[in-house]
This record gives sequence, C-alpha cells and structure tokens, in this order.
Amino acid sequence: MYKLLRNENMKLYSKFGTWLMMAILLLVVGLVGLISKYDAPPPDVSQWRSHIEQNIQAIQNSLQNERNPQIARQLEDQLKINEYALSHGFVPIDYTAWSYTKEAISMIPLISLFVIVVAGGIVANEFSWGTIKSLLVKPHSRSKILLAKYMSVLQYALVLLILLFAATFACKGLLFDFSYWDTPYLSVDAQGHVQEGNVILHLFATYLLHSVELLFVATIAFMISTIFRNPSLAIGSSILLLVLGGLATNLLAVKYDWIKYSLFANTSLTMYQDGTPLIEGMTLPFSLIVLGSYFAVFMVITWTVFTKRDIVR
Amino acid sequence: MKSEPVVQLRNVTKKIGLKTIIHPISLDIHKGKVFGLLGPNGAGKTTIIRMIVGLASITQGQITIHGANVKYEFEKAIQHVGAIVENPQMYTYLSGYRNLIHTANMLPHVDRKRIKEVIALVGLEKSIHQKVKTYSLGMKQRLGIAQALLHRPSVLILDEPTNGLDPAGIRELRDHLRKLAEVEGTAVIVSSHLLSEMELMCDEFAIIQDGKLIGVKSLEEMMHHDSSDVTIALQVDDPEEAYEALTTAPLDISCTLKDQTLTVKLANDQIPRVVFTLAQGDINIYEVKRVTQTLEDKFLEMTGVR
Repeated sequence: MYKLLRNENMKLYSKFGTWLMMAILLLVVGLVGLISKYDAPPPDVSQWRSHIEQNIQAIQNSLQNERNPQIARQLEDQLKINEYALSHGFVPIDYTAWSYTKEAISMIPLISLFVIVVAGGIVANEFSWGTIKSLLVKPHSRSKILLAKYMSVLQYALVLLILLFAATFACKGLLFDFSYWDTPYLSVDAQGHVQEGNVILHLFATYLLHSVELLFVATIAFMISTIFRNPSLAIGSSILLLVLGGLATNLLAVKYDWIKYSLFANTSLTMYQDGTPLIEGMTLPFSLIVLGSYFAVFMVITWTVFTKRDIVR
Repeated sequence: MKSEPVVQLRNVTKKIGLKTIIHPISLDIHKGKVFGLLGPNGAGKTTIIRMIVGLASITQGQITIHGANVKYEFEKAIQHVGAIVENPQMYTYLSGYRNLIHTANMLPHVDRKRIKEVIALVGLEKSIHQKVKTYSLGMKQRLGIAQALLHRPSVLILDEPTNGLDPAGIRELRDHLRKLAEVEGTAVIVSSHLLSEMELMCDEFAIIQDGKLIGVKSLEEMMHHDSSDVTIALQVDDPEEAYEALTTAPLDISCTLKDQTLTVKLANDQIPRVVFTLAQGDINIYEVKRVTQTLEDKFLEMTGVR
C-alpha cells in the first residue's frame, strides 16, 4: 500500500501543474500580505493593553443590556479571556504574526479549487492516457489502487494547507515582526476557567475545521472523475458546486426547511461555535450524521463503479 | 510430452446485456509455447485477452493461471503474468526509468539490479533517463516489454504487439518472444490479425471469428494438413488446349484457367499422370510449379471469407 501511494505521489509531483498551483498559492499569500502592509496596517503592538482595556469597557456596557443568555455567555467568556490576558501579559493573536494565518482561512476555497484539479484528474487521466490497463493488471486489488489515489489527493490537500499556514506566518513575520509568536491561545472551558492552549495547534485545528467543504468537493471531483473518466467534466462540475453550492444553500435556507439535509448546509461546522446554525434546530451531531451519510454514499458509489467496471477501449 | 497447461480457459463466455460477445471457449496454453489468437478485427481476441488479465469480467466459465482462478484469486493469478494490452501506454512526462520504477513498485521481488538487467535486455541504456514523450514508437514498445518482463513472469500476454511497428521492430520482437519461450520456458500469448507475422512467431493458433473458436491448430498441422491435396500451376504453350485435354481425361482433378495460367488441384500422386496426359496431347510443358498454400490462404479458407 505504501508503495502504491509512493507511485501516485511520484506521478503527481512530477507534473508541472502540481508545483504551479503551490507557486500560485505562495504568490497570493505574498501579494495579499504586501497589500495589507500598506493598505491596512495591523494594530500597534505597543498599544495592546489600552486596546484590551477599551474592549473590556465595551463588553461590560453591552452586557448590561443583553437579554439573550447565549450571547451574554459569550461576552462573559470574552471578558474573562481579556482580563486573563491583561493580568498575565499575554499578547492576543491579532497583534502577532499569526493574525495573517488566522485571516487566511478565507483563502481555503482557493486550496479547494487546486485540490479539485488534482482529484478530477487522478483517475480520469489514467483512462485518457491508457495507463489504467497496465495499472490494473498488477497483483493489487482495484480497491487498493483507488485508495492510494484518494489518499494521494488528501495528502496534497494537507500539503497545501500546511503551506498556506506556514507561508502566511512567515510572510507576516517578515513584513512586520515575529515577536510574541509563542503567545498562548486562550479559551474558556465548561467550568468557566480560562485555559492556555498552544496557538499553532489551535490555529491548525481551525484550518481543518474549515476544510470540511474542501474534503467534500474533492471527494465529489474524485467520484465524478472515476465514474465519467473525463477530467474536464469532473473539474468543471466540482468547481461549479464549490462556487454555487454554499450560495444556493443559503438562499434556499431562507424559504425551505428541508435544505438542512443538503450537503452544503452542513459543511460549515464552525456555525456551531458561533452559536447560529443555518436553520434553527440544527445541531452538531445532526450535521455530523448528514455529512457522514453523504461521505459513505460517495465512497460506495466511487468504489463500486471502479472495481466493477470492464476496462474496454 | 505436453505438461500441465499454464493458462486454462474453460467454457469462457462473455455477455454484454443480452448480446453474447464470446461464445463458450476452452483453451490450454502450455509452458514454452507461443500461442496465437488469430482473427479479423472485432472477432473478440482483445475481449478474451482482457478477460484473462482481469480487465473485463467473465460472464460464465473460468480462467485459471497456474491453478489460480482469475475471478476469485486475482492477485495470486496475475502475479505470474506480464502483459501489454494494446499499445504500451506510459506516463509520457516521466522518464523511461521512472516508468520502470512505477511498475517495479507494484510487483513483488523486483530490485534495482533487475531493473538494470531488463534495460540492457531491451537495449535502452542510452535513453532510459529521457522523458518517454521523446521516445519513438519502437522505443516505447521496447520499454513496454521491459515493464512486462520485470518480474520474470511465466506467462507473457501481448495484445496486437506488432501494431505500429516497422518491419525491423517486428523482427526484433519476434526473435525476442521465440527466445523467451525456448530459453526461459515462458508461455506467450499474442493476438493479431496479421497472419503473415504470426506464422513466424507462434507454435499454436486459436482462430477466432465472431466470438467463436473456429479451431486450434499447431503450425505444422496448419501448413501440412491434407498435404495429399496439392495445387500446381502449369505453364504450357497452349493453355486452352491443355485445359481441354485435362478436363476430358479420366482424372480426379479440378482445373481452372485464368490469365493464361492453368491451375490444377489434385492429389499428390496424380501429378505424373497429368504431365503424361499433357505430353500425350502434344502440348509443350515449360513449367510445373507447386503452389504452396500460405497460412493466410488456410486462414481465409477456415474463416470462410474466401
């Protein structure tokens, strides 16, 4: 299995396009970083204490008029974190080089796009090149060969996420400075105590949480690539889904309740952190079940089609 | 002297929907023999080969390789097989060497030394580190053979191997396959519609037409079968008169006269009597030539095209 994966990676990383996409990602990170340096400079680090004090004041004011217990709870947590940061001298993430990494979550759809290109080609190309025949007359089951391909796609997605993560930090650090990079990530636990966490782990976990949509569009591209053996079709339709899926879901969610069973209504798992699900009554376990079901269906279709198909001209 | 067959097909049938593509076929392919699947395009040769290597499903019947059933023990069965189905297809953006590594990674017990060996065997040492897109068709063909031979398979399967090769390439391939069969004892299966080529390459043939097995013959059987019946061509000064003389004589022969050439089909021992008859009729004979029937003629006769 390891050797099969190594083969897939050898084929993937020998292609110019694979490296081009990484280069484009770095270029975008660099450009956006430069623009923000001159266009929207970050808050002054030396002023962070007074900013936090102002923020504490503002939170206390809004707390007095807040009726919604859920929002009140969030505000109280924020208050605790601010006070903890002040008393321990922990600079908030927004004042460090990690701020760009945090903002760059909005660039994950770009990674989705690149991963779709890889996922849409990885099976279909073998058919169009005719190499699928030599691939399948080797002593390995078709399931294993397909799994190696799928894993190679996920690995590429992970490489791009790590690249984005590291590049944004490096870019921000080089353009401004790296100081306070080891500031802890503060959160409030269920007992109401403030906890210190590792900022790198927290941010990367957040990246993964925002990558659910990426996982699904890549899986769909992989499925279409396997069923129709046509890279353009797989890439095109998956990009369409990526662009329109979320948008259409949000529009329809206003009118129809059943939309909560659709895939894209459930891919933004962070909505449960913010406390405002797309449709009232949706919960995290509900979304996980819906996502799990879609994933299982996609996998079964992809693997069944690939293992049962006759390879003819 | 025949050993246990290496590859066995038993009542193998292929149906797509209601249409029967391959009617029940049984074949035995032995160690050290080059076995040809012959037939016109669209006869079903490729389908049979694809079923043997597991690319196409088998509707009924079974195929075993060294006793392992291709359908149920695919990995066990296929590990003995090296195959090129249709033209060898490579990753053209990789070097020849990387293509070999790719294949080696999927096979048991292939080390760097063996890779070097097969490169030398097919004579690609100079260009092995160039990208395959710069290769000529003949070079690709040799690289394909190197890939198929990496794990020293005891069964080698080639679908239309001579397609697109120049005469020198075909000759090279032919010598190679003969050597593999004779020296290493490999069982070789090739398919082709080019009879003239197969004639020089194969020990045994299965003739396929419209998805049916018409017959299995060894090369000798094909060439010398019903050798008592021969065809001779006669050159005489007056063909019409000669035709007249032969058709009226009490002989069990059949004559045809075409373009001043008299062709006679007859039993071998009738030849002197024909000559005698003509000489008696005062006809000058310049040449009596035996017309050997080529495999192609036999083939066309068997498949009923002519």
